[in-house]
Amino acid sequence: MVVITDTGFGADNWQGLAPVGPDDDSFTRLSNDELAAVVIRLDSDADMAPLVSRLAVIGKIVINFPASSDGRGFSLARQLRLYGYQGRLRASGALIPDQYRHARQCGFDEVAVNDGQARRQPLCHWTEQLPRLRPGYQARLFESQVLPPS
Amino acid sequence: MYQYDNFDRTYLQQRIDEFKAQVQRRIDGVLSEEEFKPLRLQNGLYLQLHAYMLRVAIPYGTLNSRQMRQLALVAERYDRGYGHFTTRQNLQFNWIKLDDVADILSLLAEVDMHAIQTSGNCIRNVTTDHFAGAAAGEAEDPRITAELLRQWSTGHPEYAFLPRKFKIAVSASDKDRAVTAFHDIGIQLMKSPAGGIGCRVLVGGGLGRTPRMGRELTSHLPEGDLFHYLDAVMSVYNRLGRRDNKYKARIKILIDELGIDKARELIDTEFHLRKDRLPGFNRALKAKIAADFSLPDFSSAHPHDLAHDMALSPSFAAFVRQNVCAHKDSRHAIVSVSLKQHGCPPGDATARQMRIIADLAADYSYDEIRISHQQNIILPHVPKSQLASLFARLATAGLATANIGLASDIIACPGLDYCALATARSIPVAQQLALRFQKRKNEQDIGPLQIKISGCINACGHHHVGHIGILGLDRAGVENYQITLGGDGSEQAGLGERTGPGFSAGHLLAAVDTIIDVYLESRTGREETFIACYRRIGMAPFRQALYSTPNADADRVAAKIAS
Amino acid sequence: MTAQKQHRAGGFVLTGNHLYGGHVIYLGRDSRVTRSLSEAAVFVAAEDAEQAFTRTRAAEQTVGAYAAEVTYGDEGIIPVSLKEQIRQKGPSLALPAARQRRR
Repeated sequence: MVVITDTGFGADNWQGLAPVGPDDDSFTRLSNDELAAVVIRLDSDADMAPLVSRLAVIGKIVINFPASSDGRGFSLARQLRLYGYQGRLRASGALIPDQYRHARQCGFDEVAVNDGQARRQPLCHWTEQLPRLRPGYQARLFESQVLPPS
Repeated sequence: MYQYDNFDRTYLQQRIDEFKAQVQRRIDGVLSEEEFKPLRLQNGLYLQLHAYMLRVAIPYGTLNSRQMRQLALVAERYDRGYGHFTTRQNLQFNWIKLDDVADILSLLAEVDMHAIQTSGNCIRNVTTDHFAGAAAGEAEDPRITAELLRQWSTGHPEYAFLPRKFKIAVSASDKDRAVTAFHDIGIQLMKSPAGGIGCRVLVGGGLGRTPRMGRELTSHLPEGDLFHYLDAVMSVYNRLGRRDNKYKARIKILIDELGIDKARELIDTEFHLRKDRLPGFNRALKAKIAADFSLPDFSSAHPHDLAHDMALSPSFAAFVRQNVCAHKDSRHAIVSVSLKQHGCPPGDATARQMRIIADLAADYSYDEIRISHQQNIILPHVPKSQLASLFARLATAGLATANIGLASDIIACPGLDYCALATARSIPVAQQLALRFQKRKNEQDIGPLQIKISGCINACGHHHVGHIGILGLDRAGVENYQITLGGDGSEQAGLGERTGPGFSAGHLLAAVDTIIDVYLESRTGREETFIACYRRIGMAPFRQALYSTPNADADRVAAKIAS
Repeated sequence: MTAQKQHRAGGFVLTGNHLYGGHVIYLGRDSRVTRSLSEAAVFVAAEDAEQAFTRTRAAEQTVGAYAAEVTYGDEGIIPVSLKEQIRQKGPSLALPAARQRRR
């Protein structure tokens, strides 16, 4: 697994942390301290309702993209940020470099791909995307696109 | 017209560079076709039967002469000398090579044009009333909102990989010339009693396999809330819209499955979340865009009575009656230039014709051109004193066909002659029908009649909303055409009803004749139009005439040929 | 429209569009792509055509490849479906540019 951020390729420092889904029995039993440490895994059809009240203490969320053509994760990410999530947010799965912009602008901090994908689409294809992270048309439409502090 | 600034131009250039790099990675094998396809589609590039097809956006159907000339140049240099104006106010080039696309996009960018989001599972080019800004009785020019929608949807990071395509239309008039009831979202602008502009929002309209009329989400939304509201709709659709079946992936099916009340509840929750947490609408941007769309300086025009010109020339009089509409400024008129010359493919224009239209727009219409969803061209602001001169030049160029709104003003999709999705041909059907009306010289007598032809169930030819709708299907390897009657895309919107079993290509013309004969025999007088007559007498007399005897079809063909 | 009744049994050709040019291509008898149906390899079954294709370098230059049914007529290989006939011969209507030239 390779993790891509604005600074380049990196190793997966969440390795070894077993992800927990909001529907898992264990999720409801986790203490606030435990929630801050674990990785919460959201599938693209996830219902966010069980998460909303505990977003302030969660530290790591990964959203899975089953196919590059499936954009549900972008809306999930944006919703999480709208509900005030401020922890680390990772997109994982079938994303291609051309979608790095979409992921970052929807609120993801990083994208994780498997080693095979990283070999086929090496770092230069991802860094090419960095200039595209500038605010687009949408920023002009609202007085300011920055989220107010929650 | 909207004036591009540095931001717009820089954005276009970036998109071209991005696309060039994507093509290179596809050729190098870094991107698979599966990965590349959504990327090329978002740049308007399809692969059709014979070649790539590039669909160029004409945002809200408005362009100037310089842009039209550039389209002519692309047609000559990279295509086979013509293009096809579509039912979504776009232009399609049919014979494109992948290697040429970046160069074509650069030529388009020179005149502030592009092919962004004319295809793919994203928010498509926004359409509106082709008389926008010129017709009387508008709440405001709907192109202002349409341009805001273009900016909101262009490159939106959240909505580039939706379950399916998403089409938005805007109208600001009591007369719905934008078919708003048959879009994923239809926006009807109106003056608020409290001042300002309000929006009625319809959702889940569409044609295709499961035709639906848009359902009302809100009857009145303050315009400042529109974009948070649309974001709420899109978020709900993107997360909950079906992705397991292409034919159930449009928002109309989600609305069917949720019910409009539940959908409204989900959308309202998302809307209030955004309204509470996010900054408000940038009114200064709207003011800037509104200024761009202010009317040209009409001060040099003077009142002119057309009666004298019309008395001098019967052909000019016929043109005025059929192709000219009232402008909100009494010194001007709105002129429709028909791209339905009898026997020609509906909506096709040659490079030569495009340049003639460009010249005429510069000379007679303050440099403004519109494309209508009926696949015709509009010169929106023509001084009445110059109408006769304009008509003479159109006639010389063979562009003065006076058939707007008549039976030969047929909408047709490209059909099986070009399209990879089509199941039957549609252009040849339109050509044959138009030639038949011309030969029988009965169009004027028949009066207003909209015939719309689609070459497959996806309904790009809008057949469900044709007064006479024709749908071409493949029945065991043979083209077969179903007919619907009574559809209407206007403010009196309705879906057509099927007459019954379909007709072979050979029997179709006679079937249309039969339908028209029933109308002519049944109408109370010339003032009762086809659609009014159909609404009064219903389907039964038409069905009776079409299917009365087992061999009625064949007999009728024989009789018609003999006549 | 279809020709399957009048002619002897045929088979399947492998067809698609060229990645760069977008034009119609067929898998030729020499295992390269060809624009001419008359040079196409005809297989007994659709699966044979697909398998033969994946073994060639032609696959890299082809988009949307599939097997299309053909038969034999006086002019040689003839596509069975109307869609394939139109793909082979072009639109069934006169193109505007051609009309203009004739005037």
